[in-house]
Amino acid sequence: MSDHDEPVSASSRSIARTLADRVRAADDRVSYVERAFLAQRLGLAGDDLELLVDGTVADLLALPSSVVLPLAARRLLDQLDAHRARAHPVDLDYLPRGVTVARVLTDEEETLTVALDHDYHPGAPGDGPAPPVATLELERDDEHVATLTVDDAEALAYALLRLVQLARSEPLLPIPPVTPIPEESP
Amino acid sequence: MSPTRRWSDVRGELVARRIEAVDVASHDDYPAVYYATVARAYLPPLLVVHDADDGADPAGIVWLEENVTGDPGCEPTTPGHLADLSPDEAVSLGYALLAVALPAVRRRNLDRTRARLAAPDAPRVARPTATPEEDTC
Repeated sequence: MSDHDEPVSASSRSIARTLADRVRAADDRVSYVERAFLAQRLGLAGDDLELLVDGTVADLLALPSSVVLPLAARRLLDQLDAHRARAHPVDLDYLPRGVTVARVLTDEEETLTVALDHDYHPGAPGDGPAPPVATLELERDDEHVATLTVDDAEALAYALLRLVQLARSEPLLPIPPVTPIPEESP
Repeated sequence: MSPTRRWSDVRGELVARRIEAVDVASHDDYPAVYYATVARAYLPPLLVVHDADDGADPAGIVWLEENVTGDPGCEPTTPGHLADLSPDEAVSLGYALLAVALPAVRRRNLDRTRARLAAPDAPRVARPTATPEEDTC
């Protein structure tokens, strides 16, 4: 259940309970209006509003994340499996210390590796050291290709998918949903 | 039963909008060439070029380049040339990037939201602001 144990307003509690009931019942009637209303109550905007429609609502509405998040992970793996017939397999590894690695074996039996590094400190010319950011390293057969922030990586991924879709004149490929981060062992 | 379907469907809509928002352009002189520029914080931009008219491969080729200021329709340049990818490899790399990046984006956003909700002056769900008209319980 939620960590938010403070008293809540009756209207917020009512909306939260309605949304929770509908989610549990796999009911698709949760409207944008209701989400927007709830987002307003939570003081969310921009990227945080995306959280609300992204499954993270489980954290905010006391939904059982243990139910919601593994299903999202399963969908990701299913979609990746479904895509293997055409593209190349993507192997995902969750390593200690929060490191996530995805590997793609290419036609030439090379390995493209995308590794998440939480401790990268980007240089900020003239501004001194920048705060650490979650950064992805793109490598090819262990040879460094590019360094990306998570936002850069997301944009690059969309650019790659979009360009290939344009060339093939295909509709949008299925996009994997957000996956959970496994809790680190103590 | 798939309790997450509705959320991921919405996510798909958001993603679709973002894909459209990626600045993809066709080359003026080479209609088989499309390219996109990906800006990066603190680092030179990346240029992704899809040349569907590559003679060696009818499916085309995807070039990934860095800090390129020339014509994206030209041959790959060095030393900014980072990688040659087949279209299938490019799609797989796109999925690999999303698989790693999206959870990190989610966690970052969640951390921000929790910090905001924890701030003393932040709007909170717990605020007892209901009026008698709103109290439908």
